[in-house]
Amino acid sequence: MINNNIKGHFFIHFFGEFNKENATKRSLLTKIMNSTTKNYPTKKLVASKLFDLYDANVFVSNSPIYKTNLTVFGLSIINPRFVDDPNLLEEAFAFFKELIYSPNFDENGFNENEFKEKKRILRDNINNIYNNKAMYAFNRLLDEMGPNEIISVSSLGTIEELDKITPQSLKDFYYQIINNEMVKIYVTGDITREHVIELFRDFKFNNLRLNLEVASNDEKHEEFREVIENQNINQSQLMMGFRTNTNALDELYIPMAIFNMMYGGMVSSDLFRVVREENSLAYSVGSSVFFDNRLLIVNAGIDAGDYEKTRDLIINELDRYKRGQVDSNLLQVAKDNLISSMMETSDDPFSNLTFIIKNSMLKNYTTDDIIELIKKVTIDDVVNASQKVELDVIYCLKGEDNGNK
Amino acid sequence: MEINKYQNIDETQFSEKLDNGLEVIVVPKQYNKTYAAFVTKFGSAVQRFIPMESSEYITVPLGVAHFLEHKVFEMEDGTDASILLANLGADANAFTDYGQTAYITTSTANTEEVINLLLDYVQEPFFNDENVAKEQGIITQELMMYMDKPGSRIHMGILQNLFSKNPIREDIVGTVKSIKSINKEILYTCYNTFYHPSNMTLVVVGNVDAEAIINLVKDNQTKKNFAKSNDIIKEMIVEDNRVFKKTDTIKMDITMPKVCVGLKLPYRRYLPNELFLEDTKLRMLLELTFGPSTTTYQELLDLEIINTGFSYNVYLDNYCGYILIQANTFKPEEFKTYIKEKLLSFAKINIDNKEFTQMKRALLGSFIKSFNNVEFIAHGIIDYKFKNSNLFTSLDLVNNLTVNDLTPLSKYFVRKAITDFTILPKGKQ
Repeated sequence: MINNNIKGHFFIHFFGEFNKENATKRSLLTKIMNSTTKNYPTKKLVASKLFDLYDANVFVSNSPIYKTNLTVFGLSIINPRFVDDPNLLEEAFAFFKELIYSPNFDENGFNENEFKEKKRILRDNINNIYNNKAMYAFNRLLDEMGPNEIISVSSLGTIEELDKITPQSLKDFYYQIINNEMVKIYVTGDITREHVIELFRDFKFNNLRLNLEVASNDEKHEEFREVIENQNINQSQLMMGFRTNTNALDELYIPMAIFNMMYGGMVSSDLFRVVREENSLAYSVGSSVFFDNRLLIVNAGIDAGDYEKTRDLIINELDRYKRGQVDSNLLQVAKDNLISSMMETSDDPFSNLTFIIKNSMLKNYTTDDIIELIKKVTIDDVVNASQKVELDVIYCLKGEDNGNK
Repeated sequence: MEINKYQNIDETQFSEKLDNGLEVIVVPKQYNKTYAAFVTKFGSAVQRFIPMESSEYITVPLGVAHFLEHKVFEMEDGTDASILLANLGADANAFTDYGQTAYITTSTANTEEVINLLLDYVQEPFFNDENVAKEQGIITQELMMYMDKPGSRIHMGILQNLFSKNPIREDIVGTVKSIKSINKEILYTCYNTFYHPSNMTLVVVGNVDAEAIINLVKDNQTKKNFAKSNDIIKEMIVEDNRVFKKTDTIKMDITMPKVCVGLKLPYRRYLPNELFLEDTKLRMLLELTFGPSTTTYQELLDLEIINTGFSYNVYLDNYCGYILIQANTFKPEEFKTYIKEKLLSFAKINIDNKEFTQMKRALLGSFIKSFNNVEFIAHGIIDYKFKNSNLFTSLDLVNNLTVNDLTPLSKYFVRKAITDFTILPKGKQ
């Protein structure tokens, strides 16, 4: 690692199953474990410790990939050469170990005060989704698309499941992760392999190897539906949910990523040009592709009166690709942009490591492999990718027709 | 070319002021990525000024700096500069705040072409009635987007309470009415005054050879003609610390009340580094009072006075300043009372020396980490320069602070400088 002020990023990953039953527990556990530990039982003590470690980042987070969950314990610390503190890394590791292995338990599971406080805050976080209209509309779209699929399970959790959790059941769940989930350690930094092994010497890990589902093959082919909901808001949130029928293991993985860039994934994309620049219908418009769940979502913030017009323009642009009308110049732009963002990923050790971890579960691509694949994409590949894309649900959270044209 | 080496943080800055007044600053980093920011000192707080080659003050509509930011991208043949940059594999962006408008490129290839294009598109404007009218629709949708965000609404609400005349009390984007009143003549007048090279800075951070970049910019600028540079005369509205309105409430379609307490900082003139230090000291005071390491924070949680979204921040520039403390809460009245009492208690500041020293250590760590980030370096250079300080040497100033340096801050915490703003849920919720 060159020219970096961080000594290293140290990640311990626990891989387990992500499902409707455990999503809320995972969410609450992450909150409570980030807050206090057995020997640092107040937030004040934890925050002071992190200040002493020169604003070290010591955290636990979780994120789902299809039906697999990643619980990540992380430590990032500045390079001690700037501050002349030779024991910094060892001290940081001692606290890292504390965070993972010494949760703030008392006789009945997690410390009751901490438990109640975090439960209250998580309840508020869940309720707060309603107040972020773009996120609310996105979640509602996923509910409509697959009420019984993993896509509609929020990693934040639900109030119903939250009510069922007790300090003891959360403690049991903690042990289930530590004892029964697959562990992998990833490190990047200005540090030798021997030193890393030494640092982790007295961490206790299981040796389990699990087969986990990380890529969707769910099938769904139905006529598309429109769902309209009204709220007292200024701007309408249009969300269009498509099935790409393509995951990161498929041949069309990279062509689909390129198609998304061209369609609505960058400022020179078709949706940006047609909806925003040519028709002045939106400030924010674009598409995003989610390979784990084989989805492509288009969103636009519009005036309620422009709903039909915007929807039709978005559908027309997709149909153009399906008919084989692809701009070869735009294809090159999409490739260059995607290559550039892969190169930026490899600049930042944290992003690069995150990329490597995710790919270790798929095809073990490096950023260089992806760049080579991007270069090979042809117009035919993009047309083939676009033909796999099927409109499933259109959801519109409608506000008032402001006539602001 | 001036070369400054900063050994404490292992960075070197190259800079030169060109004959036409443009300042060019380069910081090489061993990354794939290069980040460039071309910045004019023209933001939403500027509403009255004497245009170039004129002698009379004019007043321009609210939101004109932001409107310009959108329109500068459009080239004479109708193409958008961000598309030309994308053709070079570069990403284009821009933002407007109270005091500046910044045009940004991020690239991993064709760096020289990208920087030439950045200079050219910003320096070759083309506005006509048709493209101005089209932009009004897009910017109105941008404003509508902010109108539905409780976070944006509370920010605007508290600023309207804090300030009586300062243009920052309105959204940076402007109002539905002011956006409609902008035309191509107004845009050209603002452009010709504030986009003169002598009012602009180009910062390039990343995978570059500093000397080559500075020569490239020189070549580019020599080919262009600019009017002789004059000092820009602008009338900045400054206010004392009395708030315009003590309290206000609106309703929105939300589930939980959102509340903010604001404190207005009075206008004053600062010597070099003074503004930066005042800002830093205020941040330290807030962190040591409301941060996660404090008993106050735990007490607010225990009393269930804060729920989600608790935050505290300081804004301070050469013309205005304020402190905002906000949260989502089911106890908005208790929140306001508690926070106001706490702020007024700063009439006597009492901070523990050990905690203060610990805080400095954390600031040092976060400063060192930030230098991994090219965006931070580029905008840090500009922002510190605007505040009459130097990004690279600023940490030494922080290191020299003692806990007693916080004591004089007590003068700010007076009742007439405090206001609050609340958003309550409406309708069926």
